[in-house]
Amino acid sequence: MSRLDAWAKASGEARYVADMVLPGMLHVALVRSAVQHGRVRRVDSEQARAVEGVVGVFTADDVNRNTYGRSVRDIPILAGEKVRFVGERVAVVVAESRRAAEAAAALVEVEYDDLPAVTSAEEAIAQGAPLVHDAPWEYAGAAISQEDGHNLQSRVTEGSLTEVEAALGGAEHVVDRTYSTSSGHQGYLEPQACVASVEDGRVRLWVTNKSPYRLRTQLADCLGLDPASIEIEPVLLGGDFGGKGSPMDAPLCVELSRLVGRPVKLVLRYVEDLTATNPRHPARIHVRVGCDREGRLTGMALRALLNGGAYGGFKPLADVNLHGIEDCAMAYRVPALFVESTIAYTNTVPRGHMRSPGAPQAIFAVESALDELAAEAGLDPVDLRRRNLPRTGEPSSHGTTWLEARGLETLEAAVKHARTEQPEVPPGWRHGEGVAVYVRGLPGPPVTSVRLVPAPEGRVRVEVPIPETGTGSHTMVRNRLAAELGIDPEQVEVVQVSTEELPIDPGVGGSRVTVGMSEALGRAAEAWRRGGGDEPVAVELRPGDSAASAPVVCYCAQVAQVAVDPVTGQVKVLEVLSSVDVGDIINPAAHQMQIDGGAVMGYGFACLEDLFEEDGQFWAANLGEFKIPSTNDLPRLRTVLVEGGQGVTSANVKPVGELANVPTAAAIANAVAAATGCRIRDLPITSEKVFWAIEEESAR
Amino acid sequence: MRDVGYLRVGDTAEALTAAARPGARLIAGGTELVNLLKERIEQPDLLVDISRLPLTDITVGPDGLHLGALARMSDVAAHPEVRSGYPAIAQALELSASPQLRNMATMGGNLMQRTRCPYFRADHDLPCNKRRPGSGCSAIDGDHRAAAIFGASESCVATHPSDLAVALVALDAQVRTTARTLPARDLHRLPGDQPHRDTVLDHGEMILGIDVPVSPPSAYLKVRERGSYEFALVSVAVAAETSGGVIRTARAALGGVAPKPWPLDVDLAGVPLRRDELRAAIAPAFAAARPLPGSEFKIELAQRAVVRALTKPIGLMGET
Repeated sequence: MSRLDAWAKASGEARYVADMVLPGMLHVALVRSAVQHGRVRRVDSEQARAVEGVVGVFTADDVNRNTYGRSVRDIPILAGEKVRFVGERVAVVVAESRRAAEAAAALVEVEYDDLPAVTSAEEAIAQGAPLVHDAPWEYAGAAISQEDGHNLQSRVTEGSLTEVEAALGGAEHVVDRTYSTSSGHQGYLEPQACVASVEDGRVRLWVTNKSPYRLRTQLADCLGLDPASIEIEPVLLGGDFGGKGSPMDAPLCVELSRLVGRPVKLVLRYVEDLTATNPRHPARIHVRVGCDREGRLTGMALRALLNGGAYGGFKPLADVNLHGIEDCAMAYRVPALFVESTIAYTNTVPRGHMRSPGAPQAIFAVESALDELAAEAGLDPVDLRRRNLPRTGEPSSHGTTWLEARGLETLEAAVKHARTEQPEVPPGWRHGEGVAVYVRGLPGPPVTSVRLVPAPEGRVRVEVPIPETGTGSHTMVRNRLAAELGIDPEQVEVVQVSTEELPIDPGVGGSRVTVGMSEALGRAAEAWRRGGGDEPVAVELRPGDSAASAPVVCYCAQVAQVAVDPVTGQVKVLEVLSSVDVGDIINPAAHQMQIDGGAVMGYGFACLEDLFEEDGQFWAANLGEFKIPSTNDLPRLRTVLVEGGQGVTSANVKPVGELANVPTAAAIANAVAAATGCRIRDLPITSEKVFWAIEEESAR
Repeated sequence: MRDVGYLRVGDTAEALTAAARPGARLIAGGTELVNLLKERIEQPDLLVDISRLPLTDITVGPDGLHLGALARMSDVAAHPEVRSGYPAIAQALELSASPQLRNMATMGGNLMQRTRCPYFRADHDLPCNKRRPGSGCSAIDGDHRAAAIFGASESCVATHPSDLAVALVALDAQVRTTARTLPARDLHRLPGDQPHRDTVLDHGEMILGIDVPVSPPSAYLKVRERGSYEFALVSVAVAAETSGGVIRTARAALGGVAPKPWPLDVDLAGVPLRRDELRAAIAPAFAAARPLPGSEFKIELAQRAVVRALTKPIGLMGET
């Protein structure tokens, strides 16, 4: 059964926001800050205004001065008196053509008075550091108070450090290590883009945003508009991976359309996507973990310090943190656990969400530390994990007792299958095997809406509030509804409708689409059958409406096989085997793609990806320099599905989208350590890090 | 991109006239120049499209291999006699760029490609003497992991990115232009205080072809971090005759270590194909290395790569 979007994408017929053309539409180009931190002394737009085709050049003085954000509202539409990172929007040109707009933007001269800058989280939270925002606690939605310290976006703590220290005091073995990860980008191929049209007080938007209903609220909050006057139109997204959830340039485009009285279009150049949107948080994570003589964990303290960049507004959670950090030890029984996650403001690009936010960083640290602890205790790393995975009925380290705890089965399946078929190692290279485990909970109770409408020739049209982001979600909707109604999938049409048409949806993200849609479609199908299929049926799941929030988790265990060339330090990842705890699978091909794509992304995070941050700016200006894996790099990917799991909704599903990308980096780091005796604690694991580590090891 | 004139020429004479105009730039496959235009690194007034000129020949004769300047990378790499008689060239090409790029890119264009130094390619206005003469070098105090260890100057530490050029130097090839014939090893120049000039070619001078003498067995080894679409951290081309485990004659060149393909000027005749002896024999060539702190690893890496290229069965596809 083919994917609904396959033909259009393969043939080039697919239309994205960048392809949109409206009558009278103008084009937008941004003037971005060249300094990390500075007061804007003067913006000289005289030359720019003289360029043929230029309709207007605008600065913060011309647009709404309210700030915006997904939770904390700290992002200005255009930088006003000061800029906070290289790449921040300072001025904007609107012109008859993109070329004129870009040519004029290059002629806008901005003078700055430099201010002292902080470019790393460590610098930012140090005593006496320059302030990125004078009073960040004053922003609407701020997650910190004045007493919390300076340059903080958020700080979340869980558990008691005193208890952990007491537990570690009695431990037989303790390791104390620091791990770090680099800045990475979501790597979606479609650039961020927005087409806005404001006419007679009505706002229409076509925008690369996967959460249209939330975007409507965010725009209304910032611009002081009635949400009912804003309509977000359906779009096809060319990839997301977490990067398409924020309003990005939408508030600016709405303001511009209002100012010029015509529709406007902004399509970022990819270099802008890489250097000035909302990439992944780099992290520095300190782990102290101990076990008793039998290898049972006694306590763990994890403190993460993340660079949040100049604004926190691209993070959606109320605590402005990344829940992947907080959930770092959920896979195991940890009697005493302390987690602290601090996100600092710095004079660098604002960070946002990327697939399983926080988890790849935290799990890299925790799962590496567990291997180091196993080595310290003289235990096999798999054995150490076996001894600490909770069994069904036991509470997890976060206190919840899950319906099922299938971590052990998932790990055993991974190890068993990995060892039945060893990959071939090039002669002279050293082989190593590494394991890592991750568990992820369900998203909260589903909140969404759908409508079924009778269509000609006995077909059913299902209207959904979510865009197709490239995961195959619309195909999943088709298959699921066809199964619920007992009809041929060809009889189902799936369309995304505008925010006028349906009441509510939190957007794509948090691995919630399959669960939420399954629940909504199950209910819609029931109503449809009751009504005989002659009348439209609408279903709305409001917060608190749904039972599909059982304590269900999904485990993923991965085994990485690597070969390391001791001469050059080169690491070849030969294989990543993913063992995944599943319920029922709606679309096996799409499900497998999430696992394979996840492992590839995890591999890129482990070995390649780095935006090369220096002095607060990124040097990787294109996808040649920002190295995501190419097909040639891919390890052999194998999957073992641990079937029979208890999922949620009538479809008995478990999420899979943010699972297999998480443990990969630790599995690879553990395999490299097994192959060489060298532990790389700083991602990415480049050949020269391995090379020098081997040199140091052999010099010892 | 700003406005730029475009002229497709039908013969070499027409090309030469057009190319001599101030602000003219030759374009063939366009896989490099179009990027440079988009990134506003080069801003020519006129593009002279030479892609229709009859310079696509690939001929192997008793005197060696002749490659037209417009022969495509993919065609040369796939040519059976290039693969058997000049494997270092076929390997260097196949380890370059991506299949799509190799289908478009030409021999001449490959030699004329410009450095991948991130500051040269940066989107921001940063000091870079190669891009904006006199503005300074950001790499010396910045990220210079990919920087040269040989032949750099205080003005520029960028490396040359071509794999093909390295193989041509090891194979002692000649480059034929509209003005002269010169050894491949002399085509690219060291930066000195004029890093904006990559080659010795004059404005309007056009590469017509490449002549490679009959070659002993050869191989190309490329060390890089990604399996495709990736430039070399270090690469090495070797052409060697051996007998009884001892080198009779050998020529080698290094890539990724200098502003130009770097000939390894040491006499290897009589050296046994064993690690320790080879290391001792090539060591003097590395005495001149002047790395920056972040590129120091290349000294050791390059020596190990040379040893590996020589000790591997010659002709084996360059493994990375």
